[in-house]
Amino acid sequence: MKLAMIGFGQAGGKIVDKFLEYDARTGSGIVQAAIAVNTARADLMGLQNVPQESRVLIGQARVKGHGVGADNELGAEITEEDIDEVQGAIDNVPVHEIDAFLIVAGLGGGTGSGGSPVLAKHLKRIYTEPVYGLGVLPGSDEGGIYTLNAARSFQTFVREVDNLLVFDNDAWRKTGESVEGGYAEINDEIVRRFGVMFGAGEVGLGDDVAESVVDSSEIINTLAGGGVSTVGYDAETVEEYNSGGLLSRFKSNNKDDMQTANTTNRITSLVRKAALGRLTLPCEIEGAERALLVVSGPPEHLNRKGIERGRKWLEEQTGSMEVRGGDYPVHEPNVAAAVLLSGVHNVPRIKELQQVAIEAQENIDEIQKESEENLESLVEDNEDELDPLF
Amino acid sequence: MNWIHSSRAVVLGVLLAVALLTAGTVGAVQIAGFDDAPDSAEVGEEVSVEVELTDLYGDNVPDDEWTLTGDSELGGADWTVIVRDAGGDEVDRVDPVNESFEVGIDRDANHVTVDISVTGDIPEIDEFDYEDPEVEEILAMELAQLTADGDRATLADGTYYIHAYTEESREARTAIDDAHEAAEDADSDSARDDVDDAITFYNNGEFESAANTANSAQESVESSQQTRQLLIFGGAAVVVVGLLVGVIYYWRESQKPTSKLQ
Repeated sequence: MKLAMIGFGQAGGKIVDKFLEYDARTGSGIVQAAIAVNTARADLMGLQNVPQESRVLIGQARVKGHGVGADNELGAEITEEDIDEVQGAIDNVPVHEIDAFLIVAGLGGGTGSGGSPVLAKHLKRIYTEPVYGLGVLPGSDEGGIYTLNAARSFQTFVREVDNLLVFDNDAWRKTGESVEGGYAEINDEIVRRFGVMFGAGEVGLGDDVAESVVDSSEIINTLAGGGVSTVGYDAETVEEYNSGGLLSRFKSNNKDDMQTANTTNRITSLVRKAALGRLTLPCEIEGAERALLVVSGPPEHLNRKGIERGRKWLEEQTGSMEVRGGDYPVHEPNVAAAVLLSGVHNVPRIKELQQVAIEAQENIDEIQKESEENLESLVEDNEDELDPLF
Repeated sequence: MNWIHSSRAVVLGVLLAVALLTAGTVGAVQIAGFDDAPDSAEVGEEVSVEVELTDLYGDNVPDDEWTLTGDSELGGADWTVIVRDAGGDEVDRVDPVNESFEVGIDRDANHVTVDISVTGDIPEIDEFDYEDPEVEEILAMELAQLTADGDRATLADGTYYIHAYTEESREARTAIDDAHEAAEDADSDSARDDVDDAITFYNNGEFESAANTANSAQESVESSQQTRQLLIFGGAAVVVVGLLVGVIYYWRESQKPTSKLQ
């Protein structure tokens, strides 16, 4: 699946930057075009792989390139005003070659949180290609204002995109890691998951063609119903056979049956682990409307039976009949299962986020209300004997 | 007769001819000692040439009584000629100080060997020729036979020349030799032209100009060789650095993880 990626805000820009690096490193060919949009000049300068001409600085008249300071309403306003500048960068994208747009943003901040729903609305109005969002939720320890931003942006973003893929930082934060290292690792996780998911149908010259290809239309149809999606992923290192070798031919004769059983079991186990334990947005998978399973690895470690069993298991677990599946042969000693669950409803983390956001909103309102009275009592003298100058 | 027999006859014929030729020279007057004499000497330098004559009555000297004569171009040639008998005792002796000598050889007087020595200075030379060194040679000793009927015949191998040089001419010749070699090694036409000029100077007796021209020819060849060498080394260094950078780049690229799944 070929995507035009637009990284909005600091987190979005960094993730798109990582996607480009992954693309160049693995040759998966999913990023057809990459654009980074920001209100802060410094954040744009920190990117390494996004081409200079695709870095768009908006709101220079309002914030002079210093960012919106976690004010997502301002972020949305600025995006609305400067949408033509973003469109200018998108005009250079060969839209006929892409399958979809993907807007990547951190939902807790200002620019990305406020601007990405505005951009999504704009793109959907102009283009027929689907517009997907990849939103990163802030960790619960990041503070009330970020949670409030995320909750408000989430609501809007889900409404404006064709599907919102969510990654929850809270589920992936480990204790005791540095700020930079922590985010870099999380970004790696994001890129790997979505890289395998979106890269599945992209066959280059000399690549093996899958038995059952996961084409971009499979992904589009899985995401078609809208709503919120999560991706589960798990990988396991395996021994890669030298399938062309004489020795391995002798060996494989004796062990064929055992290997088939092993392969099947490995795949089903990976699918279970991916769906139950390693979702980008932890949720109850029961009730997911649609699902897509991609099993990737060396061709000799993939088998139809394993994938079918994994798919069937997903059908049982989600209760949905719309579970697609396929394989993605790669030549490296790992087998991985990626599960895309679309239209998930039972997400405790979102409810929790909204609760905290409501509290934060009330707190802010209360403080604002009290603020004037408190200031007055501080400034004015008790008997009102003093007069202001003018 | 087949070819084996005919070739055997040819070989026999050749052997016979060789044997006859050798027999013809066995009887010639034998002169020993030129090997120890100097090949070359500076103008004004005193040199000595000493030889011993044996087989005085060989085939080429049919008479039993003849006159041995010697000439030399050495300045103030001082001869010492001693005729000895079979026991090595002195029978006759002449030691003239001029350009030639004469001494009688007589089988009946028991003349068996002759010791001849000449000492003198290398005289000035008027002509120089780089390519024909014979022009620069001085006749140190020429031995001849005067027969009873007054014929003069130079003895076989009885002539000895010494190459004469001055300090300047030798330096110029060495410089031209070196320059010539360098020009040939480098296959440089301009250097060859310079060497030809130097030779012309040399032949005219202008040794300083000859040496200077030869030296400058050699220097130009060497400097162009150095430049070429520098270029070769520079090119090699660039290639090596390029390879090194390539290898490091390839290694670093190969170290990067390319896994899509882990």
